[in-house]
Amino acid sequence: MMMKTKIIPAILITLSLLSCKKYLDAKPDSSITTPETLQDLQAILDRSDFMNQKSLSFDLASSDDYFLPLATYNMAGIKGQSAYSWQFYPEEYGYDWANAYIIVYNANLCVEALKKIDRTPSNLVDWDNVKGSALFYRAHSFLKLAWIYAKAYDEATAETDHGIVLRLGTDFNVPSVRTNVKEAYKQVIKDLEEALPLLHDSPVHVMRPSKAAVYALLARTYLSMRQYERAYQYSDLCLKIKSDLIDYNTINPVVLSPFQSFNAEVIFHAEMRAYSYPVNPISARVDTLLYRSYDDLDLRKQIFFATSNGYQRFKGTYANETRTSKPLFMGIATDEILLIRAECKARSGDYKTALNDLNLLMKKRWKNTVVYKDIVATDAGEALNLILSERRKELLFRGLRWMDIKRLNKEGAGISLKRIINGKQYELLPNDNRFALPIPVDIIALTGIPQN
Amino acid sequence: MSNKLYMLALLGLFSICAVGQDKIPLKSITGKVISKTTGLPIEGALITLLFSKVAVPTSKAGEFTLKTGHLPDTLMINHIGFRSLKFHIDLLNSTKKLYLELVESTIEMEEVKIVSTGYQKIPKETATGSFTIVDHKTLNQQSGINILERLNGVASGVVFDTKPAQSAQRKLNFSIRGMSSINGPLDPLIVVDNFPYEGDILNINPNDVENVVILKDAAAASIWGARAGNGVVVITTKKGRFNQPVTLDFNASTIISEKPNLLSLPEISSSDFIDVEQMLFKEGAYDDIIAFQPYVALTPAVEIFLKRRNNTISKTDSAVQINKIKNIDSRASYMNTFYRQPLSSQYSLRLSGGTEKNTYSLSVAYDKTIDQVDANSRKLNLSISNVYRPVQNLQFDFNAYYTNSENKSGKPMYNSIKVGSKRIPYLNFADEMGNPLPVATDYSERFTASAGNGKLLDWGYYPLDDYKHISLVNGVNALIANFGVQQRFAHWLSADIKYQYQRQQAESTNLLDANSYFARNMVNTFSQIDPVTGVVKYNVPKGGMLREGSSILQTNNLRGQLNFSPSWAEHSLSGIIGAEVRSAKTNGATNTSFGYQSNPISLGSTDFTNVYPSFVTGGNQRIPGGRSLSGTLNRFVSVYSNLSYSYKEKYILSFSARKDASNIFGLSTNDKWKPLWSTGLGWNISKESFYKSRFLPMLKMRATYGFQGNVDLAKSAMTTIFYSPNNEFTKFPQAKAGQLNNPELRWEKIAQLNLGVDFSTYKNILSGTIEFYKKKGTDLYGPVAHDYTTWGSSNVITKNVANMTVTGLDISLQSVNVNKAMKWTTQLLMNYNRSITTKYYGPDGYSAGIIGDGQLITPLVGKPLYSIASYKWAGLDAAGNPQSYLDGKISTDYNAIFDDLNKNGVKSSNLIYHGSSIPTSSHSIINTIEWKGLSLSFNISARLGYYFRKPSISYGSLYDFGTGHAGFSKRWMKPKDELITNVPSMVYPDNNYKRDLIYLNSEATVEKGDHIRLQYINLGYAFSNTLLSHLSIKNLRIYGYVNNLGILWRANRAGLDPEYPETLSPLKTYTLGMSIKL
Repeated sequence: MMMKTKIIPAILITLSLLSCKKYLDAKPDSSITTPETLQDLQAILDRSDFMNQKSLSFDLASSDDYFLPLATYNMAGIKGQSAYSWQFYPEEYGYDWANAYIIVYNANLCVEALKKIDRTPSNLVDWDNVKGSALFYRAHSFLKLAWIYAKAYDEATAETDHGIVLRLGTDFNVPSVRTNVKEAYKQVIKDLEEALPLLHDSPVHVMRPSKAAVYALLARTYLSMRQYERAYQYSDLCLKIKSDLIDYNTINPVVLSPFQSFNAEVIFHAEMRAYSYPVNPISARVDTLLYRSYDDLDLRKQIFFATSNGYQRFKGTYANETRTSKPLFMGIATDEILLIRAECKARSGDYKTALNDLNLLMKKRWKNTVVYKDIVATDAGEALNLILSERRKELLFRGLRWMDIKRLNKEGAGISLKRIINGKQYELLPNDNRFALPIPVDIIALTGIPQN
Repeated sequence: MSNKLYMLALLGLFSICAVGQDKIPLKSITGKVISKTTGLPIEGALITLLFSKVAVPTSKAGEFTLKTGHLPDTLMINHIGFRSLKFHIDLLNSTKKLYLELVESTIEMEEVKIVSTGYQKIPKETATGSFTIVDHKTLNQQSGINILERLNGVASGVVFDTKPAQSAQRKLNFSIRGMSSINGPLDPLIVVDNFPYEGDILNINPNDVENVVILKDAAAASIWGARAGNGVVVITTKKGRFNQPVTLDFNASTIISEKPNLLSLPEISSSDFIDVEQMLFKEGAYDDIIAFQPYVALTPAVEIFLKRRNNTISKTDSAVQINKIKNIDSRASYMNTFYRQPLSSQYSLRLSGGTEKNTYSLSVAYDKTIDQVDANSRKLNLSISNVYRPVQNLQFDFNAYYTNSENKSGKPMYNSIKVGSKRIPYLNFADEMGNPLPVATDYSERFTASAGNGKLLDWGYYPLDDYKHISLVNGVNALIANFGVQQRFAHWLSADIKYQYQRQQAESTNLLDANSYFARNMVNTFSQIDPVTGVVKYNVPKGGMLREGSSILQTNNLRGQLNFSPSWAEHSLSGIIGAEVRSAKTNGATNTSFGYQSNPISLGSTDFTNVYPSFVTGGNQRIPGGRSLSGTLNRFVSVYSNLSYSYKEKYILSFSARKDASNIFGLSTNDKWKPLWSTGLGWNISKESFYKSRFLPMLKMRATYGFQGNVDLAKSAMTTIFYSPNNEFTKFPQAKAGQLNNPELRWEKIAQLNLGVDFSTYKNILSGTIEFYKKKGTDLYGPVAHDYTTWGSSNVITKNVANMTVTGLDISLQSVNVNKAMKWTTQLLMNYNRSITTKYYGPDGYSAGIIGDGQLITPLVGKPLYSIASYKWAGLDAAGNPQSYLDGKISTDYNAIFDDLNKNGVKSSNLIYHGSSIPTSSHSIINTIEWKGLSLSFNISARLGYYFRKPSISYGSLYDFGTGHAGFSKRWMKPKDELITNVPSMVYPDNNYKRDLIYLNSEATVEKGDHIRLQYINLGYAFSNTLLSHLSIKNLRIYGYVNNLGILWRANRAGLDPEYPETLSPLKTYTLGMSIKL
């Protein structure tokens, strides 16, 4: 009886002494974890549907890479129609803005978490790769944001032109502010220079950043800043690591997706697959003048295009997936870098070397049933024009055209854009303020940053 | 039945009567129990000494003898049909033979007056909170295998609806006193035998349930803390009783339903449908598919048109074939081929009894059900319950409840077979000879006939046979085991420890054998034929597909509790204080493999990692399948207390508090001492000396206020990353940042005020309860605008920001209309309820979502949670186009009308707001007539004060998905039709889907939902005792029920069932059964 009397008090005391702190620290879902290890961080960066496959499309939607037949235009929705005709649309929760800053957040999460992980001889390869990759992704996003939401880089006004929001940490209590254009490009270059020694020359998979990709992105960055000497240096460094070109004679032109993803030319793979604008290659049509500018011996004419309802649609992308969506390649490939090197060389006056690069590329694009005749020019100006013309024909639907128009107009190219919709003409003149596209209105309202 | 409950519940209160216990030599107490009205002895009344816990039944002569070693004590006398009697017994009066008179209770439902909260059992008399008690007799008024469904229409404050389950937040189809959350969980907490039940409710056999108690207000429910926000349903299973002779109960019943009448579904006619297809074909709608995707299946009619166009059949042949299929009706094909009358049988057997030292109950139950498409299920329940009391002050109890069930798939359901993702109204599954006909569900015959030049497997899908090759089996093994020990230290103080273990293991085995279409299709899709050698490479091995899934749910609960009930002079206090830890863990795994062969049993190996080209499209894809794992773990630590003080049994003051901590809350929530509490006041006016009313001899008023919590177990407060399957392209492991760290995230809080009056008139002719309540939900989960520059995954983040209110009235009245040889009683339940959003994120533009069918919660400040609004309707124009308004003028500018609504929300002048889309009041009236052994009862229920959307034709859905509607035949076809119809004309191409929506979501398609149903009629006959006693049978009853008798009255003129506007109403069911007690 005495023993029995003590059963319950004894159990109760044990119960009350239970340490509940530790008991409650258990993870509620085994597929969840808080990011702590290098593996976790690498896994975040390897989540390609966020980091590589949600490239922005606002610039492409505003560019002259495509046009919409009236019936397609009518179904494009107000947001798509507004982008197409450069009209202001009060977008809320803009996908482009959000998608770019998911990448920035993930990169920042990694950079911050690395501060709590010691870099040791046994983990330094992984540690460096995470840090270098995170910085690359951040720079890649910032650069694209600058191309879309800021004016073209102009040394004279770069310190007064509105830039982008440079978020360098994950703390959401830090308010978002717009820095100037100069700082935006400075940050991109800073991140890339910091990433450079951390990455391997070539990646395990082109969805991951590499040293070649960093050089390539630096070349892009300086090209868009019109600092051609630097752009030349980095394009050259990149091509020293990777300069493979596909011979288009080996490509079957009659299939719907002639190119494989991650092919020999790809340095860094990025793509756009969820279309919030009517730039889906199924509905968008290629500018008729641009199409006509391809020579019949130019293999790209068949490989890149398919006739659809009397117009051409683009099928020459370096992203191939026939399942549900039709992605567009938005990454970096050797053809682009070769054209950057050629352009910069031509601008420096060394037009013969420049044309060598151009011919190197064009030989791979020309029908091998005839003897390829080298492109020649009499002066640097002519060479530059030839190179820019091939750049236009090689790099369409890659998210490069908008920036090209902006920077070339700064060089005095005088490119103006025209749309004729239902008999009404819309025009965007060179250096128009609308080349800096509008920021989502809810962001403006929440943060108070200036609108374009 | 209720004796045991009384006994248990009064354990905590016994001391009110027992002041100063003396240990005495064993003493006999004798007495006789008679009926006060007839003066005749009562046989079988249970006499219990509450403290000594000695109980005996009375003899045929109504006499009893008890032995006890403790006095004074309280004697309790219980018998069905009589009011319980308590009698104070001491050394003085125990020497004489006692004569005890019992008063007949007029309404048996009053019998169960003890409410179990899952923590303690309290007499309803002394409670301040709001409870609904449903005893097993009431539960048995409806048939069916789900215990919760049996609460429909018989439990005050519980309202069933037909809204779809909203993800994980809503799995049950009823609510207690309306909705208490917008984005959080909406299901009431289900408690089985004192602990939260996480398993499938179907595991619990209704025959094993003793009673169900609904905890409605804060005083009743807040003891359940952070999970009580939506109310609590406490289910108690049957147990044995002390000193009860061996009893055997057997119950058997069969439920048969009518065969579903698919022909009553309002579908478009086959002839109309084919005419539309012909139009589409002529317009070139299929040309792209024919040219570029020749493998995509087209419907039979389109294939005929195509053959005609290609000149492979003559004009006459084409016409003959088309006419033939125009006469086919898919509804009839399904009905004749796959449908049947559902049937289910239920059997249960229980053996129970008890001695002075222990009680036992053993039961076995078996259910078997065949549903309308021949899917069948069986369920076996075993239960064992034991209480052992080795010495006076110590008691052990042990209960185990085991379920084993299995469901097997049947034949195809209506509309489950599609042609190229379209449903068509002229499907035929067999030819005139009864031979199976193929249906081109994925690929056209043009493609499959020649694909692979005979090197592939047959690519045809034959619905008539295919289900025979599909076996989807789900099995459940579930166990609930309880172990308890209770020790009494003094007459006013006891402690108990309870432990419960739940385990539910669900296993699913889906076998689609080598002959099933699915398996053949997978093998063919991933076959590669070498163009040179012709050798076929099977990337998906030939054979069947086997998908095995298992999930295990385990909960462990441990509770230690101190019960005390001291009393002095005219004061008495009763309370509990306790602590518990609880963990709920789930683990799941699925595994898919191909190449299954049954003889000998073997599996092929399949590469699920790399991509392979599709034979059909050439595109690379991964073979779907492989292995996946999941797991969750929730842990809670809680402390709680409940106190009740009463003075002279006139004034009652109650208080309860509970504090929870969990591994899912944010740190700062766990760290803060913020208990959920409640308090209540009760006043038994009729016990006041000044109260003299003869008309209302019982009158009690109650008021309570307190807080209930609601927690979403899926929301975590940490920055987390989720790993998902390895990257499709790179094969690297990949993870996603799930959400931002929000250490402030906490449970939702619902404050509730409850005011109640209980009364009964002289002789209980009319008795009832009227309660008014007001709930205020604060800290509800809701979105907050967020600068997504910081984290782009969402433009909002979840915080505890939204508010809502619920106001309602629950009235429950019982009356005895006639009480002679024939007895007629009526029970009336009336529930009024309004849940309104009072604070929510977003501009009014956000609210455009309320234009719809009212099936989803539309949080809009000032409006009911479920509400419905429409575009204003201006009829059709002269060309049959739907018209609404723009800036007060009739308009067909659909884009502008939509924009206006998106911009201005409910303030838009194009919008007309109707009201709630769930009933704002539900009532039921149950009449019971008893005469000799015969009893008849029927339940008529009403759902009032709401609106619903009736379905109609959407041309876009018709063209794209084949979804038609009978309204098609009423469409505008010629000028002046606009005067007689609201259904717009058919246009093609339909460039603007908004044209459809303006009509479908207009005033023209809204109806009032109010209606009255005859829910059930029950007829039973209990054989008389004299007849049975010869056969040594205590009780024999046969019964017949009819459920879902249909609608008696409806407000809508369309003749629709407002609860099932698009589907069939619940099938009428007929139950026949018998119960026997030995």
